[in-house]
Amino acid sequence: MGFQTIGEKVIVAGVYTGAKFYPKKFLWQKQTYLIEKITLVTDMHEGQTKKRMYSVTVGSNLYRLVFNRDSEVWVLEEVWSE
Amino acid sequence: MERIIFHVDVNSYFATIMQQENPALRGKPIGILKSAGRTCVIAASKEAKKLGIKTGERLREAKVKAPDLITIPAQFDIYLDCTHRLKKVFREFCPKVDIFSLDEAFLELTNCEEIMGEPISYAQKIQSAIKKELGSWVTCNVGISHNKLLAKMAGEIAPKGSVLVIDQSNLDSILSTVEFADVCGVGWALSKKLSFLGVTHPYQINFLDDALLSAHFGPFWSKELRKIGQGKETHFFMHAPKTDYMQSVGRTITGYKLTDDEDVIRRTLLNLLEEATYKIRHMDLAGRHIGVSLWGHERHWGAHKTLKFWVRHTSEIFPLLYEGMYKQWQRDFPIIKFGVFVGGLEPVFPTSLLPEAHKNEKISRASDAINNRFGRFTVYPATLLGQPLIRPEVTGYLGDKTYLGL
Repeated sequence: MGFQTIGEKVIVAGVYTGAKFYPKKFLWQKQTYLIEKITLVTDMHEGQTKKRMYSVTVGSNLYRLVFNRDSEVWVLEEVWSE
Repeated sequence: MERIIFHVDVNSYFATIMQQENPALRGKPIGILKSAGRTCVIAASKEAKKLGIKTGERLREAKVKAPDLITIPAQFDIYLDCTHRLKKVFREFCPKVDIFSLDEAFLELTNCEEIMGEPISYAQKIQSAIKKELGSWVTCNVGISHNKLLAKMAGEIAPKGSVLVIDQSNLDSILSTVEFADVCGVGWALSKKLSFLGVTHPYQINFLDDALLSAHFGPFWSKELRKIGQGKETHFFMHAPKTDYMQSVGRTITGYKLTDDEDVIRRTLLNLLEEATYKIRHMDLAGRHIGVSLWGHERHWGAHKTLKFWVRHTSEIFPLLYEGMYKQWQRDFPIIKFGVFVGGLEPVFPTSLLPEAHKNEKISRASDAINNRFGRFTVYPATLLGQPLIRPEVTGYLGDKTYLGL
């Protein structure tokens, strides 16, 4: 099990339901990844900038997608794979 | 009216949260390291514990016990957010919540019988709510009793993910089977001293007379041990904070290796102090008691001083700590662990009427405003340039509970 730091902007599509956002898929390096499960949602902040990290699985890999709630930009921070 | 205390303890917190986040880690022995490249296992998963891996164990030794051990760097931001969410869950069940550490809390449910109903069912509802909030992999123990000592003891000895009640019917049997290592507040040194007297379980204390206890453990611990033997709440749990603000702020860090490098020692102390003073100013406090501690291989040196004036800026404290204390010491061992603290904190402002203090205050306010907006260490002393910064982190025992809003 190892991880790779990515730090690249990605495009995320998802649904809002019950006042919550659920990412469903993301586009990274011209490839679409269909999210199978959101395993953890973490709120964090850098100064006054609020961020929300969605830990999601695609196959046996774990992806950490971070949404900057100020700039509304999605970044793929890390990928964990076996 | 007998008190009703719940002690909720999330099992193997750091590792369990990582397993919740990453299903590929579930069911596998994992060890959490403070960061990649570290050699101390700061937390282990349930599976790793079954293989004999203990918190604080050297990675090399852990790998002998579990060659397939997976090591993961700690994610303190994630743990802290989970603790905030746990607190939210607890507040839905109980009006009086005491977050005891990052992964455990006491819930005072005395006089809540009508809302609560049957305690074990209520505890199971809390367990379900935690799973719903943090994820299905996250399990916790709930210990229930009439005081915090016993509730925590119940939480410690209950099988993973279960509920255990200690009441008069099982008190003596539990006190005669539980080991002192599972009694909160009794440290390793005291356990060892007790074992020299042949005492390994709390109930055995009842067979020692007061004079013998006093002779071996002094006036304070003899009384505390007597209480433990009878399952009564000890001073450790009754010690309520005297104020609603923090009385001291400290910061320690363990380096990767022993060092004799004076530049590293100076920069590390400065970096730690910068973090401590930021927190003090953030809470609008100032202190009069300052100290420094350094650890080598099985050796320690420390110094502290009470000042006649109030301080809260790195520029005023660092010369006192570094030149006034550290440089006066003839260091005779290499250092691996560093610590600074500022105590005697009070909401005192202004700290001084002297122009120099006003200048310090203005500079700090400006840099704090930038750091508050853009994140910690966006602005920092130029003397810290050229080396990796030591950034703030939470500790398991949550010394910064008030600062973190818990």
